[in-house]
Amino acid sequence: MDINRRNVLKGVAAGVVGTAVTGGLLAAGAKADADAAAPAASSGPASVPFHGEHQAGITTPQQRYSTHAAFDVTASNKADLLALFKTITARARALTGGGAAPDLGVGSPPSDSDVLGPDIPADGLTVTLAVGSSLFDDRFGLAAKKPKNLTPMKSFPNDALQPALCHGDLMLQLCANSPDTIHHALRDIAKHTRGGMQARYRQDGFVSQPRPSGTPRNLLGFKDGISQPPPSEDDEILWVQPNSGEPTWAVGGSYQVTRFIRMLVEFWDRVSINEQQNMFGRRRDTGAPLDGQNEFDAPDFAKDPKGDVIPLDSHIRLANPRTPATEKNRILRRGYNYDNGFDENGNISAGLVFTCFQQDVKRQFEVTQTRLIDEPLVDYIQPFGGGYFFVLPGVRNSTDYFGNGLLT
Amino acid sequence: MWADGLPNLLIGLREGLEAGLVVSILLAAVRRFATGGDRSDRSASTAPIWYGVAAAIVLALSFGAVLTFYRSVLPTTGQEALGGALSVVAVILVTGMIFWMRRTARSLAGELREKVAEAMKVSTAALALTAFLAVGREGVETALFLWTAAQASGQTVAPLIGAAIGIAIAVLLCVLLYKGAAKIRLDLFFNRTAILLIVIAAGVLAYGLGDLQDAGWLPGHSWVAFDLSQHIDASSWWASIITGVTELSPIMTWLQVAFYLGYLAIVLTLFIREGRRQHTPVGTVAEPKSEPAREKLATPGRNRAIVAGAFVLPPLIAAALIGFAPGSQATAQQIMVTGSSCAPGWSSAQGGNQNFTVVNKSGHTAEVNLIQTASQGIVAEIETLGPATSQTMSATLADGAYTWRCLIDGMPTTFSTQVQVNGGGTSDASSAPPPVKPITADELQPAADAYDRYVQPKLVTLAGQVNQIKTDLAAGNIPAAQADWLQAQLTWEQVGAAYDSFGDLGDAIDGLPQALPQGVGDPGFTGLHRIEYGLWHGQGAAELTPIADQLSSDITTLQGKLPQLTVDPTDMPLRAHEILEDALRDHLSGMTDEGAGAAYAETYADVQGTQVVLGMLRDQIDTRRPGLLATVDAQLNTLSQALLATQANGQWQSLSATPLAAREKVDGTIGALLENLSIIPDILEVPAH
Repeated sequence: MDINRRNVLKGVAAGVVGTAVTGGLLAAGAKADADAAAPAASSGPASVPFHGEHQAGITTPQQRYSTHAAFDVTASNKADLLALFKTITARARALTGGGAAPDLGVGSPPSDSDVLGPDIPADGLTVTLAVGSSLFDDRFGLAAKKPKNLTPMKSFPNDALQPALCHGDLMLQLCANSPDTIHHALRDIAKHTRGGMQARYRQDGFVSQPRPSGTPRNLLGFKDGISQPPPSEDDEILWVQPNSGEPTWAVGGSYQVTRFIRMLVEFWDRVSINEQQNMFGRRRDTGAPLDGQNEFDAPDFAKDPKGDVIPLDSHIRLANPRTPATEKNRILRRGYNYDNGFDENGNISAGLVFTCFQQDVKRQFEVTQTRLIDEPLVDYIQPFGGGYFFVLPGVRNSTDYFGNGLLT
Repeated sequence: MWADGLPNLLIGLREGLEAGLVVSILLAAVRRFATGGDRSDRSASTAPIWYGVAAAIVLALSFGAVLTFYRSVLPTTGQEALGGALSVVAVILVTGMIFWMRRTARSLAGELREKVAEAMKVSTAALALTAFLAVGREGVETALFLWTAAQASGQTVAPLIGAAIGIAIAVLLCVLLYKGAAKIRLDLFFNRTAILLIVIAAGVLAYGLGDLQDAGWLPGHSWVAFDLSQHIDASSWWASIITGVTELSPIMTWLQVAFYLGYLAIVLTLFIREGRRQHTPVGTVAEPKSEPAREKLATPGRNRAIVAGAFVLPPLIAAALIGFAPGSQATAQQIMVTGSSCAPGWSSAQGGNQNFTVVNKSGHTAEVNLIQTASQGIVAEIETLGPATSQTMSATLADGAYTWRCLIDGMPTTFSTQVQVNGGGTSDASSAPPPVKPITADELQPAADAYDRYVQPKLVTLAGQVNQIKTDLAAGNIPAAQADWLQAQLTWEQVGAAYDSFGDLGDAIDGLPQALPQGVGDPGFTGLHRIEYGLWHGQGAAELTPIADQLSSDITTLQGKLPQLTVDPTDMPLRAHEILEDALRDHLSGMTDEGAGAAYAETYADVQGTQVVLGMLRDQIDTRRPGLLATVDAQLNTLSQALLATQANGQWQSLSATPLAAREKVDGTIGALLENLSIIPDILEVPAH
């Protein structure tokens, strides 16, 4: 057979070019499709399992949007309280799983608001239910079952707590990939629990995108939440353990502290960069500790005993001195930024929904916060609401419910 | 009506051109080959093409039949994937055909007749297939377009006639092309038609790729190169002709553009180069055609079987689909409403949660109900279904017999045949919501009459209480006036179910200042709340007596008009929840408080007003939702208790003076009560038609 080498080479070249061009077009097209679809499918998991030993919304990846809604129980007896907890369980299970709303026929208003359309997406929703110390008053006879260190939130020096925005019998933390999912879930749970619990206060929040990368920033412009206890230490840091002096029902639960902290951003923006960085102990641009290069470098306080590099009263040094003695004080933070418009003076009313979880609120949050009293940052922040709560243990399966063990 | 025909004319024209151009060129080419440029013989050689065309028409008709009679909805992605794949295959075939013709033409020039015949024989199947694909893919698309248009307009005659005219014009244009082609020298004919074919094929390729992208078989659907759809009216006649001839659309993705240009560049280059390499004027050859060639062009037996299959299979498959569809668990059953029949052809249904697509082909607005025979209750309804529209409807069906009912204004009500549902005890079938027994305005009339009788003495009481306020004012006794104002206000609250019936008089008696231009200082601010404002803002007899006089006169006017201001019976069920919805919205928010702080007192009176309304509807509610009244009565009692618990020392307190726990109890209880009261308007809804 007469094979012309040049023609073969030409053919091969044409084939390669053609394949490359076609492949490139298809790949670019696929990327364009993915980009076009991106706004609908926001980042974050499609759904987070509801059942488990612990509740979701604590160690599960943090979603972009949140609401923290406190409720007071209006149910008048323990049986009604149990019914309320079972209703919340059922709604949380349905909402976090997604799917079409039930058909109530023509003899009722529709069962769902259709805010998320007829086929309700889970959209990464987590529903995390916690109880406040007031639930253990004389109304339901639960005093004996109160987690041992659950009290109303302490007012620290420099706090400006507003009673109407503090405490509450229940704390519902809803987190999801989009704000309308949270609105829908809150509206649905409120509709199904009317008469059993009454809204007390609420704060919506959001997590900023990583700018440009790494840990998202708070509204003071600093990366916030860089250093967290590793998952391997959850049993020492996070979850209530058996035989720890806590009631049996509380095992697998966790103490939650939620504090609404106003950031006086106009004042802050008039502060020099050096002063800002010394207050935090980190660089504002990279998030690196002042003695390090990169965001995740660990500060070495031992090498800097006089605070020449990282001031002794800087936020990161007081919050976590990184000594063997203070290891047990660490907390798992899961905060959200908030932006509530303007205050009466025309200043931006924004800040942080500080939320942390821990095994023991006294040993961990209170000790940490006590160290932080009078840190230089207090001039620029104002805690005004929130409370201490106890996150119930997880709902383990389809027959389990919130409050199992507490109410039965 | 004929306006519906025009767009379909253009569809027919466009699709007809798309299919016809390729076929015309094939026909002309084969004819020229078979006769070697001599037009004396026109008998057998084009048969394969006609077989292909005919088989494609059968396929399109079968597809149309499936669309019309199949109960399920064809997924558009499936249609796009089918059309796209057919297009790409057609391009490959047409391209091969072009080069085949080019080579065959050269063979002709060499007078190698045997070789020509050989080539023609080999390509008989290819010719038929090309024609089949060219016509088939457009035919399927035309069927879908026409079906959609007919569906949308709710009629079939005009769209079909329009499409037929369009196709006829396209065929005429193709015949002209064919005739013109027949007169040209064969080499010129090739140069012209082949290039035309290449351009068309490039368009078909781009179009097919676009379909595959829309179907999701290829990526890049959203990577758009240009979008002229905002500037070009794609349904105009000239746009139809351009898209018909070139197959280009106003929106193209980069993949489409690249393949369109790439195909044109490569194929045109190859075609021209091949022509240069060995160009011989073939048209001058005028050999008489030989017998063997014609014989071999005639369809042999094996091919005859394939052709027969192509003709018979599509209708068979269509018939099978139509015939066996209902048994095949269609996800959404189609229910038809026509002027003369309701859900014709509805013959079976499954239990549990079902979805229906209800199509209104009656030409009028219709109401459609699905009725459970045993209870004569409505299970699902579409209250307003516009002409030529369709809506989905879901229903959860328990075991039992069901009938569709179609109500159209000015036409007799029609019913479907009764169908027995056996759900096999599925879980959602057993949890089916209760059907709702329909109610008529006549059945609600006694309640409305009773309410009218209830209002009359209340207004007498109110008039007396306003007189008492005037007496107090004259005596300068403001605390007594305040106490009497509250009694008057509460009396008014108790006739709450009639608010809307009173029109402007209602505003004169109980209006609020918020919407008035000058607020509380507005001269239009009159009535009970104006007196409240004065009594709690240091005003005395001088200012308030004229207002009280005006109020008395307004009440007298209202009493005089009362016989004409009767309560609409269909409003009564709404009032059952709206009185307390208003209390939550207006009183418990503090919006109606002009100083007295009477929100809880007013809400308490609203509870009493609601109890009166419920008392008049008891029988109707009880027969439709047993147990609801017991729940609601208990919740009304709980609310009354919660409201009384806000009192301090037997005195009503303002909202802000009430402890949080007591407020929360009221808010929680009224919320829970309203969730249940909201069922009442739904179970006592009078059908609109």
